[in-house]
Amino acid sequence: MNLMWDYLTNGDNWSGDGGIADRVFEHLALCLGSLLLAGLVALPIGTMIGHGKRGDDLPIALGTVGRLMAPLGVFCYFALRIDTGNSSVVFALFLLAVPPMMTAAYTGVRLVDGAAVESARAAGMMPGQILRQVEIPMALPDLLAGIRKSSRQVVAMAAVGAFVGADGLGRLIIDGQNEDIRDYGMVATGGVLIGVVALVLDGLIVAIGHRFTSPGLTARPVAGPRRTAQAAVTYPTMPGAPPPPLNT
Amino acid sequence: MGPGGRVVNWAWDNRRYIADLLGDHALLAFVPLVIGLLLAIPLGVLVAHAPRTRFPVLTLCAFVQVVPALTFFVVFPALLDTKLDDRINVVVSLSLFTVAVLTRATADAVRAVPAHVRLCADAMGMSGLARTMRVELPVSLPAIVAGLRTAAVACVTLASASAVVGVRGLGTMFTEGYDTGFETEVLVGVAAVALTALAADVVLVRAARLFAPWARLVPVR
Repeated sequence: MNLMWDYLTNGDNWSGDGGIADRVFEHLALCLGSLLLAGLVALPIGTMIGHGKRGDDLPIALGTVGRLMAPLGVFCYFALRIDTGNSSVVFALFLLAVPPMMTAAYTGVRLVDGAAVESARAAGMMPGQILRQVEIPMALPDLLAGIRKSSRQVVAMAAVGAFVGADGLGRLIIDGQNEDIRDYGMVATGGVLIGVVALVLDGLIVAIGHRFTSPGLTARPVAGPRRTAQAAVTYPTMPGAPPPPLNT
Repeated sequence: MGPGGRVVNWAWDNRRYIADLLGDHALLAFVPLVIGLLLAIPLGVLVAHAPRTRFPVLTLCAFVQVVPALTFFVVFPALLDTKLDDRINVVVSLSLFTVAVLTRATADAVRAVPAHVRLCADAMGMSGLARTMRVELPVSLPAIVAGLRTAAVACVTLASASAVVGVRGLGTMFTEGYDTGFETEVLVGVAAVALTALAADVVLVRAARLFAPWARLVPVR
C-alpha cells in the first residue's frame, strides 16, 4: 500500500497525457458510451417484449448466454477480428451490457401487478398509454436494478479491455506490469480507482433513479415485515383463561 | 474448414493442455465457492435473526459486489504480501465476492420462511439451533441455491479475467491467443469458460432437485 501511496501523491502521475486524471475520464467515456448505446437498444426492446405477448424467449435466452460469456475472451476475439483499441472494446462492452438490461426490463414490465394494468385498461387507457403511464413507472425499480447491474459489469470489464489496447484505468494495471515499468504502486492505484469509479457511478444511478421513482413505490416495504412484528403473534388460549400478558 | 471445425480440431489436439488449464481454473473458481458458502450461511442466519446486524452486514455485502473483482485481484497482493500472479489473491477475492452474494441470499431466504412454519417448529419443542438447522435452512434451500448459481457462474467468468494479472487458468488461453494472434485459441477459451460455467449451473440445479425435491426452483436474476 505504501507503493500505491507514493504513486498517488506524486503529482507527475496525475497530470499530462496518460495521467491519472486522463485515465479516469477515458474510463468514464468508455463506460458511459457503451452503457448509453446498450440502454438505447436493450430498454425499448425489453419493455416492449414485457408489454406484449410474444418474444419472451429473446430476453431469457440472451440473459442466459450473456451470463456465461467471459469478457476478456470476447475482447480478445474482437481485437483480433476487428481491431485493437477503443472502438472494438466499446462494441464488445455494448454487446455484453445489453443482456442484463434487457432481461431486467422484460421481467420488470412483465411482473407489474396485473390488476393495475387491468384497471388502466378499464379506465380507457390505450396500450401505449398503459405502457408509458402505468407499466414503465411501476417497473422502474427493476429497470434501475438492470441498469445498475450492467454499469457495474461494464466498469469492471472496461478495465479488462485495457489488455487489448483500450484506454482507461485498466491501462495503469496493464502498463504497471510492463517489464520496463514494473510498478506495483501503479497497478494498485489503477485497481483502487476502478473501485472508486464503480462506487460513484452506482451511487449516482441510485440517486437519479430514486428521484424519478414514484413515491408510492419507494414507500413500499421491500423485504417484508420485520421479525419483531412476527414475534408478536398471540397463541390461542383455552376458553375462560385469563388474557395473556401484553408484550412490552 | 469453417471456424467451428477449426475450434473443435484445435481443442481436440490440445486436450491435455486444456484439461490442465481447466484444473487450475476449477481451483480458482470452485474453492472460493465452497469457502464462501461455509462462511455465508452462518452470517446470513445471523443477519436474519439479529435485525441490528442487518444494515452494516448487508451494506458491506453491497459494497463488495459493486467493487470490481479486478480491484481485489490487484489490492490483495499488498494486503496478503503475495506476488501479483499468485492464485491465492484470486481465491481470496472470489471468496469475498461469494460471501457477499450468498449472505444476502441466505438472509433474505431465512427471513422469508413463513411464520406458521416457524411456529410449528417452536410448538414441536425444537430448540433455536434445531429450528435453524432442520427447518429454516432446508426451507430456504432453493433460494440459497439460486444465489449459489449466480455466484458460481460469476466466479467462473471472473476467474478468467485474472489472466490479465498473469494467473494461470482458462483465461490464459485468451492472453496467449491474443499475444500470438491466434483467434482459434481465444474461441476455444470462450467456449471452455462458458461450458464450465454452464456445467456448474446444471450441477447445482440437479443438486437442488436432489436435496429439496419438494420445492420449485427459484428463478435466477
